[in-house]
Amino acid sequence: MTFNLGPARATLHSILAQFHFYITLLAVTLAWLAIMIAGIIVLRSYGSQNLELAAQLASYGAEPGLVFVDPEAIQEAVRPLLDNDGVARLRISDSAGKALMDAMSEKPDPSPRMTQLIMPAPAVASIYHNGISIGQVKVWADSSSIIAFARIGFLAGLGCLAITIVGTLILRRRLERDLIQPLSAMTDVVHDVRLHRRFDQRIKPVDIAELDRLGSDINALFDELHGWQGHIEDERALWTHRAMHDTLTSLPNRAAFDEQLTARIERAEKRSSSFALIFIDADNFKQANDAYGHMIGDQVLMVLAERIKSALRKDDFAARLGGDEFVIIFDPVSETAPIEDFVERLRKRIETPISLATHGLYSASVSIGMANYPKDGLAAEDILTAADAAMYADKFRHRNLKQGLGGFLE
Amino acid sequence: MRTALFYLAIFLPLAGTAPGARAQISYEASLAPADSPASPSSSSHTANRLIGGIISYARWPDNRAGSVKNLCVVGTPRFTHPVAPLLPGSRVRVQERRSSDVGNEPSCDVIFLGRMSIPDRQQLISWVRGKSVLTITDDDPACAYGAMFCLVQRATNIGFSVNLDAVGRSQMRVDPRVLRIGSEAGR
Repeated sequence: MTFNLGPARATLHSILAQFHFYITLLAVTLAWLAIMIAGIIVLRSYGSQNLELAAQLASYGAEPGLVFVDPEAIQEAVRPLLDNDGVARLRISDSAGKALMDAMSEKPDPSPRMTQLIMPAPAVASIYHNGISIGQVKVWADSSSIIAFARIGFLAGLGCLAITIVGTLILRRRLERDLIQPLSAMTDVVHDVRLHRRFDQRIKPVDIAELDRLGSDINALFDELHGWQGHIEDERALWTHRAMHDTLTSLPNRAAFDEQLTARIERAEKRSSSFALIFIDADNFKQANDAYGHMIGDQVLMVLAERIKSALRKDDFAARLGGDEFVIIFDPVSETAPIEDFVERLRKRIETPISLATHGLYSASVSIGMANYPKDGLAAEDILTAADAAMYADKFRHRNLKQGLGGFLE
Repeated sequence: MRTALFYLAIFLPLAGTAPGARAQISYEASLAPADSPASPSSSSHTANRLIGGIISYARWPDNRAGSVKNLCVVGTPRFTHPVAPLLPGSRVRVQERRSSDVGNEPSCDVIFLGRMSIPDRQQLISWVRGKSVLTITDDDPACAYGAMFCLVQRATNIGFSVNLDAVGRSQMRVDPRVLRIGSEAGR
């Protein structure tokens, strides 16, 4: 997985595989144990039956030998029984209890302890002749058949275990392919979405019903998140705009202007170029505002802003500093487009009478001051102060020339 | 008429018999190791025991003989006198008869042929052929004259041989285990 999980954390894959392995191991071991126990029980019962039969057979075979007291005949009749698997010792005694034959199998008992554990007691059969007991046969078992079974059982158990391991590996691969890979792909997508905010990504359909449902739910969630993200971005853009713009005129505000001025100074410093700052202030606007109301004042300001905006060149920047103060960053200053021409054109444009719905035509008059970077100052404050001062100088000149500029034309 | 009832513990162990040795049926050794094999009482006992054992493994057709068997002794027994089969659990009625009287009632289930003249024996054997009568002799070491079972003096003791031909011709059924012992002993 591509997730940055800690090394101590187990993966779903390993948990499932381990779980699978242990369950299978448990099942195989239990089945094997059950079969072994049942096998030993069955074998034990067969063994004791076998022993009984051997005893009966020995009793039948030894009977004439006992009747004729012929140990040789007894040996010949009974000896082959000792070659049978599971018969360890055969003892034939007469009615007085004395042994006429007591022979051991030539094959040694593979595990006397096992014999003691499983079939400690011999099978006993009486030898009858003419309805009278004339002797007794005792047959002892050995563990050869049990040991053979245990050996085969053990090997079979090992074989089953090997098959289990191989099967688990195959199942593990299937699990990997059918469950882990789709899940991994899903988590990759989710991770990528979270990391890069790419809400347009979608999880592909999966064959497993639960995972597919999870995937489609996540997709639906992505849809919603995508919608919200768009909304949030719009909101943010709006708020950013509001923070940096004047609500009345939609021009950049004081904060935006400060930022812009700093940036322009840095740029000019780097390029060793120059720019100009143009300070614009409406004459007698305060009086007009007081006399005719804020509605009218606002309309006038909006028109002024509109006219300033329309006069700008491509890289110029205009802002409303507040009240009736506007400022323009005239950048770049060049020989072919002198600032004086621009200011003249701007003044003419602004002083064109404004048509107001209720009060007829209003003729605005503005005072304009200019400052130059780097000539009039290197710091933003200095340039602004210089431009402000120039504007006031212009305002005084206006007052001296024509009294009461700016007013309604009757 | 003599009735013989025996409740003896007849099957006493064989002491001192080498397990690998080709042992003949040996009563003397088992019963009384101190006795010499040739002592009359022990050989008589052995012979009676063998006779009883052979009778116990013989089956008459239709179980004719019932629980009490008639044993007719013809001629002079060599190994045992009197003939008194040791047969716990069964009764054997022993009668002495002349060969010419064998066919009289009560009929014989078993005929014991002792020493007798050859013509008598031949007559008896031919008479018995095809009948359901068990024949035992103690006067035919090669077991060739036609009796089904022959008591034989071996090196140390008395044993028995089987004439399978005679058994096959009669209507008697004899337990194959006994036939096997008798055949092997004869070899």
